[in-house]
Amino acid sequence: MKIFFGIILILSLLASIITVFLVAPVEETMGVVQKIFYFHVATAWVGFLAFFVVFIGSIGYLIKKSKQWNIVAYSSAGIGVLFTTLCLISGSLWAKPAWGVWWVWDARLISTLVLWFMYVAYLILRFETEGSERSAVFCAILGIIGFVDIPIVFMSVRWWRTVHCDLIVVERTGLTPLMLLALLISVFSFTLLYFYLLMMKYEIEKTKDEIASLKEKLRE
Amino acid sequence: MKPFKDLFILIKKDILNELKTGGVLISMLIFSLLVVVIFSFTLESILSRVKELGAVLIWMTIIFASVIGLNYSFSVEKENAAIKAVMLTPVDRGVIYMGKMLSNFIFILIIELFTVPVFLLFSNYPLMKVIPPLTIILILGTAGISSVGTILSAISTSTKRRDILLPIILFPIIIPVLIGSIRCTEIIFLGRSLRLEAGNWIAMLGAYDILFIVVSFLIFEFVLEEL
Amino acid sequence: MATLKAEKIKKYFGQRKVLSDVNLQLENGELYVLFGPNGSGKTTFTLIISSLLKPTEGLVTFENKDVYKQDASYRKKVGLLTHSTFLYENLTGFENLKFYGALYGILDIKRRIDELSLLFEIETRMNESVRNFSRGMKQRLSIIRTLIHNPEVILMDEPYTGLDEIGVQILEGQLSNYRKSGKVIFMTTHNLLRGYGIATRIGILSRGRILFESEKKKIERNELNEIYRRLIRNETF
Repeated sequence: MKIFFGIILILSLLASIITVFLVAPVEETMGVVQKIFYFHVATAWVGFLAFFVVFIGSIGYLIKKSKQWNIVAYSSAGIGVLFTTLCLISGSLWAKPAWGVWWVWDARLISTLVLWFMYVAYLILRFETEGSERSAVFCAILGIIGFVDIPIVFMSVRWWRTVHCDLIVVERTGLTPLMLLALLISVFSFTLLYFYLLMMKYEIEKTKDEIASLKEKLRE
Repeated sequence: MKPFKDLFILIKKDILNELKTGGVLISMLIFSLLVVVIFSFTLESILSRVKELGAVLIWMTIIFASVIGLNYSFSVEKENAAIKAVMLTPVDRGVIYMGKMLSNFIFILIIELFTVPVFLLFSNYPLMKVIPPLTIILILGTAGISSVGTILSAISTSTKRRDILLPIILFPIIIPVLIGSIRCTEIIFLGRSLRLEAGNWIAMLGAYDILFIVVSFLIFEFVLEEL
Repeated sequence: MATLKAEKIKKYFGQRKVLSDVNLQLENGELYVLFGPNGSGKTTFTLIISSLLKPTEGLVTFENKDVYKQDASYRKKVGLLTHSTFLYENLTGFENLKFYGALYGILDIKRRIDELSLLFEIETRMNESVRNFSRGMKQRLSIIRTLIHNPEVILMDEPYTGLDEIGVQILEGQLSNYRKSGKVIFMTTHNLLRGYGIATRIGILSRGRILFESEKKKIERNELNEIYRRLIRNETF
């Protein structure tokens, strides 16, 4: 099963690279650099998806109190922060040639940055409470509150920007059908990548957990 | 009726506790006055040119002072595990949350009561015009900070690095409150009408407050069990 | 017909097993004393039967009703004393008791506070801040707090800690009265001598298991000493 999934994953990643670099037309104004866009959007999507999974895992843990839910939650957090970091970096790399600046205080970027801080807060909280019973409960609380907050953050930041901004950020230029195809395939393959990583991390953490409980049983 | 009676008892206890030491409230007050003074004199010329900047200063000061108060609010409960004894009484766990939330709300509001007028005086804003609408925003914003601040400080109190952990987990969450409160305060300082220009912001602040009070109320008992 | 029943209680803290399959039944008018060394799980068990801590597995019932399902009705009837004093240091003894009394809905709280503080001989210090109390006084105040709402079930984890001889005698006198009036009393202690003295039933807990249980009248004090030493020594190796 895993191997099958792995193969599908590799195939879709390959498909993504092919469509992005070979099929989708090169954009006129920005040239090849624009192609970062496809991966950037994909990482952004995964960043938010992963937080949603943290949210689900957190709720699941509070209701069911079984460790699996918590393992899913913090595994997803670890992967999510990675993708969000990549999103911010790729966004910057794209912004410089596109707008001439490394960073812009645009609503989407700010929201992504806030998401990044929420991930970091979650992980730091987990680190600070590591090993104790509380860890799962506290992180679950933060996961729930954080996720519920994200849409409000985005909304409020967007309103703020419409009031205060002088620099109108370049909105997405129209996508030709081929570009759209490349984008969709990229998003799809990154999503698969996320689930694959999540599955692997989950198994590692679950094994760690089982080793710990075996150790404890031996001690008795 | 019982929940309200219990609520009153809990808040009374927190106020009594604070009156007896006065430690935290006074510290919060001095801290925020200091910050206001430093901001005011270093940015004096800028402030007089840019009326809106005051909004940012006020709210940053409030946030930092709030963190001090929030950190303290559960340390007194954990000192001798008194919170456990409270949990053992017939009081509803959600009411315990509301009690703390309201106590924190009251304390932060008291700080604002002193700090904001001082700031207004330094910056020569027209007090009479500004104070009524500003009070509304202070209430909405403070409720927002207290709603999540209470549950998150309960969490951070249980960790070793509690003082620095609270800002880390709190600040990302209260960004909407901060933005909304600053925006509304700006509108007030610019002498414009809140009713006309800030309808959506006030709605958002209100929605945020209600949402997070409800969410925290529902999940607080999970935190209580781990304290 | 057991009033307070703990069935198949297991408790894990993370991976660590603290209680394994503990069973206990308490009736009205019993004073059960649980002995055990440090780390045996006495405190954890006491917290579990108070309903403050949930077991990983197992059931605790009072008058045949699950204590976790009974909203607040069990909590109204149980009084708990542990190592933590549950006191607010900045408030006076009186204010602390008034606070808890109010939460328990006690009418005429002042009279109750006066009555108990007189009994435990700290009535002269009640208007002082708890921060200024000695350890022994805090313990007495904490005991009063435990009893303030006249609970039917009295749970005390190491109540002798910090008490001087007089305090011990007052406490034991009170517990004896409560037992005779039909209350359920459960206590843990290291002190074999005193514990045996007031118990109606005794048990020995070690490493999360009850290894021995007996009616007090069926066993002599030195027999208990012997058994305790034997069991505890075996467990340590």
